Amino acid sequence: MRYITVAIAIASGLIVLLGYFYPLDALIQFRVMLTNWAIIVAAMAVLVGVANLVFVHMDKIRRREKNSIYGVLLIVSLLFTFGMGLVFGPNSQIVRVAMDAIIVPVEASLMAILAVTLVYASIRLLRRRADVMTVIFLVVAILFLVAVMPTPIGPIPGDFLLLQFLHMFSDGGARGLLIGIALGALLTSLRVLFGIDRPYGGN
Amino acid sequence: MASLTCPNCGKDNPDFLDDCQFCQTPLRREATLNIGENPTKKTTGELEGVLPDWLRDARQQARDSAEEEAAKEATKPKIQKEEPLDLLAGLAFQAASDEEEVPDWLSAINPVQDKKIPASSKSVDEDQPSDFFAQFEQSRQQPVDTSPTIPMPGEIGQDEPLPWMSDSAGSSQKDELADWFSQTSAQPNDPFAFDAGETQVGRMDSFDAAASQKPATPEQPEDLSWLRDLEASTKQQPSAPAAEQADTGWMSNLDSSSGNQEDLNWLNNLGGMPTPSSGSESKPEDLSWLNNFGGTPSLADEPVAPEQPAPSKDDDLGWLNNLGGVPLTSEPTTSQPASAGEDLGWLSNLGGTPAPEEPAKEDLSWLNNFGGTPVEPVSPQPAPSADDLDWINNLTGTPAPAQAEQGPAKEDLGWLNNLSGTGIDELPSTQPASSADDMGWLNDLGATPAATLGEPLSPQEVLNWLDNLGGTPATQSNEPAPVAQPDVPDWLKDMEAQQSIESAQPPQFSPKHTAPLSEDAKQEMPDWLKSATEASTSDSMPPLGAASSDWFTSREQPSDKRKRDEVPGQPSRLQTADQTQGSFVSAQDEPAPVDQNIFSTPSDSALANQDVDALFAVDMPDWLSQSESAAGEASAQMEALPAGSADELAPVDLPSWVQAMRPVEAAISEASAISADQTTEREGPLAGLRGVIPIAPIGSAQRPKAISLKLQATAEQQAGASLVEQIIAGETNANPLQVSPFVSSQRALRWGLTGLFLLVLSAVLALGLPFMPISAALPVEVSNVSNAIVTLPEGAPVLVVMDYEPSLAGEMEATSGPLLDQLVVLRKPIFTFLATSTNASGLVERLLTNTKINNPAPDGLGYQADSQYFNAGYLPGGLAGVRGFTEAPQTVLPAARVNRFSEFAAVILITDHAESGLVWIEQVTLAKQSDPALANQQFLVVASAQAGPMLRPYISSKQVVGMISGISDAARYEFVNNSRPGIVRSYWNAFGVGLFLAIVSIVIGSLWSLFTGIRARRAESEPG
Repeated sequence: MRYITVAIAIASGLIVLLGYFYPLDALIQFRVMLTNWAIIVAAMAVLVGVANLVFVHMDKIRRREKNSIYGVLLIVSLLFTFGMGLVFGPNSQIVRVAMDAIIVPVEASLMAILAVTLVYASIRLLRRRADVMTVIFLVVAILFLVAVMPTPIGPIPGDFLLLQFLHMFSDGGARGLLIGIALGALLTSLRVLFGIDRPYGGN
Repeated sequence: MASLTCPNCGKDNPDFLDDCQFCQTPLRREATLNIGENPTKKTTGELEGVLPDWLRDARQQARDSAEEEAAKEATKPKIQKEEPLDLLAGLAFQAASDEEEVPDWLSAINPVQDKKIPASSKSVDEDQPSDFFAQFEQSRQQPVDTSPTIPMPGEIGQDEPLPWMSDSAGSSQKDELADWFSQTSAQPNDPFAFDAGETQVGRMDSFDAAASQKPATPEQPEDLSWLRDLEASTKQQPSAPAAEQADTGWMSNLDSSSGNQEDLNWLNNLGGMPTPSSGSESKPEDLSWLNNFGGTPSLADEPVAPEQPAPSKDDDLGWLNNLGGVPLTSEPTTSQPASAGEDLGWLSNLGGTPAPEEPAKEDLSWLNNFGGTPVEPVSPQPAPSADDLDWINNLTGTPAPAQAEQGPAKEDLGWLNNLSGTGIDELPSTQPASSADDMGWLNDLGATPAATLGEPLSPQEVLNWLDNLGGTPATQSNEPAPVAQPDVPDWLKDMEAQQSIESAQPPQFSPKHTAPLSEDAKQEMPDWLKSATEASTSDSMPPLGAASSDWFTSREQPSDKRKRDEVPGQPSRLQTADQTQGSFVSAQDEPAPVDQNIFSTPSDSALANQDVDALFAVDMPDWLSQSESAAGEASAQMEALPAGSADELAPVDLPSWVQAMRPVEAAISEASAISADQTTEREGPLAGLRGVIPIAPIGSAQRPKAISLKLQATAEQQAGASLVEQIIAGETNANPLQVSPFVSSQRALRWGLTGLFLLVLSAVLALGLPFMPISAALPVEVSNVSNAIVTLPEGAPVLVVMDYEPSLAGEMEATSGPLLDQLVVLRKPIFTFLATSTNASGLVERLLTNTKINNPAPDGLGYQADSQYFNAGYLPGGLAGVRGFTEAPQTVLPAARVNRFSEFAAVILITDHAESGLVWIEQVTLAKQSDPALANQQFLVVASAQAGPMLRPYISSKQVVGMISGISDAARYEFVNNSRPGIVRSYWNAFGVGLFLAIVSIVIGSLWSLFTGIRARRAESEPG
């Protein structure tokens, strides 16, 4: 069984890879078919995840654990939204009210708390770690904020230079991260193709 | 002589000894058997080859004669069975003892012999009394006839057996010894060398002297018919006529032989073996013929001293000492003056060993050796006047080797040596019977009745003193000599008188030795015979008249045990020979029944030792099954005996061959000698074992000492232990949290910051005053977005990828609003909204509403759903979904409304995640590489402020045409787009105030934190 899964994984990867290098219709069709299977499986995984969430909270309700009332609220809200979406569609007014009145304000509030927390953390940073990197971090953050900060007097002179200077560092860091991610993805793909890594299970 | 050193006492011992003569420790290691070893079985039949030739010949002849007698038995009628036994009957009455009780070693000596032999021999003896001893048998057949004519000393009738023989007669056992004598005498004699000179004993001198003192005895017609048989045996030889003449001659001279000058040389022919040259024929009262009585021949070529010194007047009957085979040294004999008194002590040796002390006069101690074992080898010693009666030594089987040396004995009766079976071939019968001595004592020796011959017997001529040989000692031991009675002949009275006188004198007896008679013979003598010879001196029969009666009585009383010692069916000769060895056994038997079962235990101890016996009874002989404790008890009993019986119970000197078959005894004795400190178990299954349980208490030495459980530690160790305890206790206890007042300030700070931001931002938002100016300068990537929109065709399908979360909906709507507004205003594209986030599909309407795109005009752009924009929904599958959508949008997402991805004129990616934006950027870039139609497809990115920096590299690589990142870019873009829709502007003042507050908070807070931190570290670094 283990060899079968490995063979399927390697074959799928090789076919998709060959489809990139050799855009033959057969390979493309076969690649598309495999991709569709992956999309369907991923979609079902979302549903499985929703079902798992429901079962976990139902179990908590059944065991009458602490704060199980929130589980009841979650399950009721989920079933209600799911039912409204199935009945009225995702673009119905009911679904929009649920989104605009509940989801967006809640999540926006969290982002506001995050803003306050980040400020507080920045204030406490030198209290916990008063070193050069902390100072640099704080200085760069303050400079970036100052550069983007609207002022009543208009843009701060030299803000573009400051932004370009800051973007130089951020872009360099971002490129390094992206290159690293690309190399990591390539190596992982090769390991999966060679059967060294079997993230699909088969160890 | 080689010597052996005792391993125990270190003293030297002769090499022929097996046990140390000092400490009784076994000298030969091989003879011992350790406990736990299996004794090597020895077949006593192997000793057959060790036996001397004469003994083997005798045994063979006995077997032959037994066969002959068995043949004759059928033809001869039986005469009488209930007859008094002869003199030797007491020695052989045990012949019919049970074979089962006979020890193995004894029965193996004559394995061929069977039980039938005694019966057959008995019939033969009864029918054919051919020899001297057969005469005894006949004399018993007619006891009534002889009783009135024979004066019996001590008033003992002849019709009844002697007291000391009564038991034998009463036992109705057949006298096999006499039978055997009769058998052997009837057989032709073979030449047998015998040194008469060495075996001569002058006891007959004293005997003659005693006889000569009795004037009436020669006058009585002696009944010597019993000698017929002896003569008959001699007739079979060439010299038979001479023997007949001698027979008659001495009969005729009986009457004339009243004087002291009795010539008993006629007895030379008694056995048909006269010496060829008997120069002593004319000697008066020459009883030297008895020297050959036991079969010791004087060869024809032997130089016989013709001139025999005249014997003393005292008839020496000491020759009978050797009748049983135990010789007496000639030294005491020669040194003792011949006396008239007859020594009846010879009877003490009749069945065995000679008495240690013996009166010199009338030495009848020859009977001690009658059936016994020779004590010591006799050194050649001439006895000029004594007759050689050592032939009797050979009665028990000790052969006297032929020696050229002849003593001065004139009458050699060595032919009698062949009575034991060795025939004499060359025996000239020239010996005339000239003696006229009264030898009627020989009649009484076997209780020969006068009626047998039909001749009247004169009481004076009959030496009835022999009747008391066995009877009187019984009373003499406890009573005054009963011999001194009126009927006793004078000569016997004299003998008694002399004996009584001599008994008061210090004993002059010294044990006399029988064979070997020479050094050569001594060398050839087997070990067992040596030891027996040496041992018999102390175990011999006491002198007659003293304790001999006890000796006989003791021999006869334990008849049951005596029977064990005898082999049924064995010739009496061999039995007699065995009795020589059994003499010491019998000596032990009497006080304590330990004859054969010397290691036997009492009944109670035997029961207690059953287990032990069972152990040894597996592979050991029966006699080995006796436990050591039994032997110990037996020895203890022996030690507890009265001193009077100690002489009879002298220490046992078993022959070496017997000891060789008793390995366990040696082992036990060795063990007892070695481990004397070991105790012997007396009870339980270990009873009888020695040293099994140690004396010391078990486990006392091996028991571990008691160790105190209290740890003995020094003060330093205790201090260290307490310190460790404190450390452990400190680790286990939870440290209390140090609650500093600064914590409360932190919470107040958080709440202060929160309140500050809420109040300031709320006030800014509430006021709605545009006090923060927006710069009109657009960054390059923002300006590229505006340029890309301008290049889009009118009403071109534009794919809007919604890849952000509701939490960032405010930012993303504000950031993307100016772009979408500009695009709708300028190009009226058909939007296809595709969400790669689960909630993004629900944010499409919100976006369009907040950007006033789908709002009806005049406030909004009035875009209509499903006509001008399409919410395709959620695209699952992540990277695969993006890849599949780029390849076949409608296949993967049927709501896409396009068949090919290249149909989208522009792809606007609204994302707040750098990863998802990367996926789209890469897949769209890949799709452009594979599909040239995608070359003009504009790829625009609207990113949050956090995702912007991560996607900027793709802007540099031209994979993304333009990107609007954050509020600041969106404010510039909105400002360029004529401030449409105005969302960014509404946020701009609050955004500016909030950033300012944040910067100020961070700066002030960081400085404060730095100051407090330095102070805290200084406070920590300061001591105390």
